[in-house]
Amino acid sequence: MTIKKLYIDKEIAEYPLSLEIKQRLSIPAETVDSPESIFKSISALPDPVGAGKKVLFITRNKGAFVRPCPGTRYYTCCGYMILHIGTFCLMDCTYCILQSYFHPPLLQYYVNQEAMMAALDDVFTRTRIRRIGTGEFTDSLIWETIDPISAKLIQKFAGQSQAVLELKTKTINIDHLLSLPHNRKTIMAWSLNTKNIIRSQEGGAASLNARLDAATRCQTYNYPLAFHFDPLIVYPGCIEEYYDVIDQLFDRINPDNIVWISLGSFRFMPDLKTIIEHRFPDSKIIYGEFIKGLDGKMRYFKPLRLSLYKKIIDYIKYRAPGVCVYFCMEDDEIWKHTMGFLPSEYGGLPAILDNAAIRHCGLRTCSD
Amino acid sequence: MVYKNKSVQLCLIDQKDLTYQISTLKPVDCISQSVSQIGLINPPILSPVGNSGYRIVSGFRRIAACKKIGWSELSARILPSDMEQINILGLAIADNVQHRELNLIEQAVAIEKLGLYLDDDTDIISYGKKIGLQLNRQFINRLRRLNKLSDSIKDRVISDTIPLTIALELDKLDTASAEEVALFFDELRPTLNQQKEILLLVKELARVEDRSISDLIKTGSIGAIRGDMDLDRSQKLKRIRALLKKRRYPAIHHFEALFDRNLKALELPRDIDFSPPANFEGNRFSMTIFFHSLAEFKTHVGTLIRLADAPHFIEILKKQIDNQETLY
Repeated sequence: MTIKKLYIDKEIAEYPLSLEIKQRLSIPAETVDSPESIFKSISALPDPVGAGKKVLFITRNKGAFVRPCPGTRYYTCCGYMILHIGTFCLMDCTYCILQSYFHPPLLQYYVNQEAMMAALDDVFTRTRIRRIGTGEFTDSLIWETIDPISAKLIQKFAGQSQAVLELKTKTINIDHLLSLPHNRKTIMAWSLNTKNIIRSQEGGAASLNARLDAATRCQTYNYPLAFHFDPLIVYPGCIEEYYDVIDQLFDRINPDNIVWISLGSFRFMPDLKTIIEHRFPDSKIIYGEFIKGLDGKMRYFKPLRLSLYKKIIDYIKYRAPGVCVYFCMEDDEIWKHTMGFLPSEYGGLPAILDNAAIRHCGLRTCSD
Repeated sequence: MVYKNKSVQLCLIDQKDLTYQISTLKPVDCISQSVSQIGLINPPILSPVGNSGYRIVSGFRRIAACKKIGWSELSARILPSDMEQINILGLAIADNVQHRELNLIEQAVAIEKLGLYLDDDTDIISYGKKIGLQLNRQFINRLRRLNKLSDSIKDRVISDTIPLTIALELDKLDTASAEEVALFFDELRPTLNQQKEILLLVKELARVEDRSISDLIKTGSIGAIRGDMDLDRSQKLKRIRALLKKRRYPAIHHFEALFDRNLKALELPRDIDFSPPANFEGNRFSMTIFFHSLAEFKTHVGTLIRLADAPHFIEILKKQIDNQETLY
């Protein structure tokens, strides 16, 4: 997807960063008093989601820059913090929950970065270790051509030992980041999936090979790495194909340099189904064997998830016995039956991941 | 309204001109009998066409009845020749509305015909109010979609075999599939909820299996059940619903069958009720015991203690699917 039109919030129109972005993009630009008219015109289009990917609205983040990842009480959350740099994505994955998360979905980028940096300074002075990522409401690295924000953040995080930044992506926009002084306080992370799913469901995303190439290059520059098998999608032959991805990963990446690997199966709020049916009529991923989970999201039938996770974890552990593997939003039953332990036995999932970050990234609390 | 009452020769009335026909009622013999016995109580309304011809505005069935019993002329109310067509149409619709409640297809026809003279939905809503049609934008859109369906599906909407919500879903299917689903519902007469369930299952199964809905429900095992002369309608419906669920959700079906087998093997007494979590998603199973005496209670407790080591009980709690290889 390419951005065709830039809307600039009048409030920040004269910010140096706004002017830089305007100049860099060199596309039709319009200054607006409020985003309402943009929202209204996009919502009225037959494909608001697709339209929202072609329009960028630069504005101020009026809310918190650092906020907790929205978990639910029924499933185990990892205590992750989101650094809210912008919303939505230029890629077009069929399963993307952002399609139904924002109303309307729209590329938004926040230019009041002085407030963001202040929010980070506040985090860095706290005693608690934080794992912070930019890749929840957007892909971490899609903004680099508009504003190299990841480069700024990597350098910011390099100067402290209280928090680790995770840049989660399906792109390979890493060239300008490689030689930065990161001090291992930034984890470069890729979402991984089978070639089949990448080809058929992840529009505009880099191939598996390219992602692993990029990860290998980051490893060469001593960046700690992470990988996310999320969403795992069930289809005939998927297990063998996931084994193949795991093989390719560990054939190229040193497991000792992997901070964590997460697993999560495809789950979605029910209204995403209609969006996927309309936007991606060739996609069959919504016709899996889903039930309504305890949090209202559609999830694969639990015995199916148990079986899928068990196979994948066993294979990861076979290839890399010491690597930290965790589930994104699963319950104790899944943990116990597939991992053989409960997070609570090790102080809870946040503590498990904090310890992984301490080990791999040299984090320490202020009291250390 | 100023009419001119006049005796009109039947041969001057163009019965094939359906410009103002709204009613979907078919000609019936009883009208012919009534006209023949009592005469024409309500004279039809006609609109003059050309020098001497007439177009029917209201009374299509009455005129057909007169012709059937051999009349050569009848009394009619003739509209002024300069009357605007929209008002003639309005009169035709109002005449039907004043006699009875219009069915959905008649309302759809009325909307379509009003659309020939009125530019937008606001005008249609406002004009409709004057002639007794209660409309809103959403309903107009639904009626328009209904009007696009084939005559056979419309007939099933009129006969209440297919409710409006289902008819609108059929509008989203290819013609052959819509026809076949309508036929299928006509044959087996599922309830509205069953129709919704079946439609969703066949739509998704067709997508999963890369075939058309019509092929799915016309051929193979579903076709065979439909054609089985030894089964009655409800038996067919039950088998087809079960088959569709099994094919759409093979792992869930497989697991539920496994659960049922394990539960049966536990041989629990009738007074102990064992329930898994909804959809097997949560972790909380429940066991309810009913008893009348301390002795009965002790017996049940003994059963529960024995359960703890029963392999089938342990299998149930593990939530494992056997034969997993086939699932992926």
